[in-house]
Amino acid sequence: MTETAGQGRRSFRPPVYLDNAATSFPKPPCVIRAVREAMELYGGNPGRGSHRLALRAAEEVYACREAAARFFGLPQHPENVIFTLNTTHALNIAIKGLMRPGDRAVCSDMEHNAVFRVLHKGASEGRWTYDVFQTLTTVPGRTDAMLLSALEHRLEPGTRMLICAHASNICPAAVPLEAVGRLCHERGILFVVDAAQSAGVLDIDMEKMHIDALCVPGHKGLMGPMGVGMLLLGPDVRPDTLCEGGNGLDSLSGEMGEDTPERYEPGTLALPAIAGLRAGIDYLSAVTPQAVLEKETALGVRARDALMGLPGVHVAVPHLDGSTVLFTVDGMDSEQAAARLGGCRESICVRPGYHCAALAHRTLGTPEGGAVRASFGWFNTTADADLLVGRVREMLKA
Amino acid sequence: MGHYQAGGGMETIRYPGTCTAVIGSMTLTIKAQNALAAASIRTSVTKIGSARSRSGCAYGLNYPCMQRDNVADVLQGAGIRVRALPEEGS
Repeated sequence: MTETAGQGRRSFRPPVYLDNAATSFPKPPCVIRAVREAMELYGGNPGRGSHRLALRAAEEVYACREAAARFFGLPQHPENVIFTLNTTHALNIAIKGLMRPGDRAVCSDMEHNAVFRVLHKGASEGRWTYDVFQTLTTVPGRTDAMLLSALEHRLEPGTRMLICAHASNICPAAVPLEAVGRLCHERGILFVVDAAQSAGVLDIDMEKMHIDALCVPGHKGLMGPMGVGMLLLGPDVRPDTLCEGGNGLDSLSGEMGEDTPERYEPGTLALPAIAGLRAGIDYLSAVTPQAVLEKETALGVRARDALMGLPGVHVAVPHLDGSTVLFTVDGMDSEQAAARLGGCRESICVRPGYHCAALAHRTLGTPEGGAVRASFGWFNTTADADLLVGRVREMLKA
Repeated sequence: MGHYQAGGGMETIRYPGTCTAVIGSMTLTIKAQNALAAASIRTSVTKIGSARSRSGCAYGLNYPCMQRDNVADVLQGAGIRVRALPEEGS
């Protein structure tokens, strides 16, 4: 591929993509094929009518529910896999649909705004109260017991729900889901998990981890297209609906009905995205999440260690290993640094600023101006990590 | 699909009618179909019109009427609530 620049020609190099925490890219070829087939071969509306193409589409949608249910430890309940627009949408259904007037919720200090803003709005309107527990992410040598102890202090009587980001979107911090879920289960507290960064990478088993509601993106670790997320509900969890409308069922009734998942799925589903998501889950199951975790972590650690060796570069929570590296560069704010990384011939895609994570950045003590986030994915290489480090080194010299 | 009946010293084949189990949502209907397929009961998905479902559209499964008891057992075992499982001809 070539591009024309000025008076001559120069070879075009595709950008090095290090923004996988925002969305994974590129997608596996099987995902692209699945999207294309859905649009070319069987684009009926699933759950609407019973002609051949509608039924074929419905079978594809159901197959994706089954694949997701198996993947997240809910194999007997594919009907509890609800398709949403994205993780934020899933979290809104879970939180607003399960919290009752006067209830109390607790969340971690590493939450994304997808949790923080929902809780904040409900609290500011007097619908509920919420509190924040300290994950002690910045403490080197933090143990799970320390985190659990901090959490227990916040789970006062009357707490209805705990909401936790499994893994942070700005650094390698993660919460031990099984231990936290057990604690919630023992106390009768609903456990809602934001798996935006962990789904497809870290082990998640809803039954074993006592998760009542799991909120998952299709387009990140599961390698599907944008446009579809999932809310997986435990067998006895029945949130109120967030949105109402046609769902192909009981059309003469004013009610959404009791059948899950249609109760929570008004309007037409994103069939091509769902088909791609199923292909992504199949792909991931074949390569294994463990292999993904090991590769992405190795790349993150390689970049982190090299960046830490550069005078003037400051890496957040350097004691944690993972695929995401958050750093600042002396003498420039994060927007300037990211623009310089992305603005030349060997363009590197990273994300500056606060990453929609006010609570988490406050917890880490990120300076004014935000930080640069480089997040590695399955298709990155050591050359990509080394290029990032080399480019930051050049920036420091300039 | 049919079953054999002895009659007058000669085997005859009687093809039973098709019955319809009214399930409800498309998702539960496919789940029910898969459960029945695992029990070797072949079915087809059908849309139940508003004439047969007071609240409007629903989905269901056509199955051989002679399998009615088996269908009921399998769906109950799979935890799938059936709105209606009418007798043949009803």
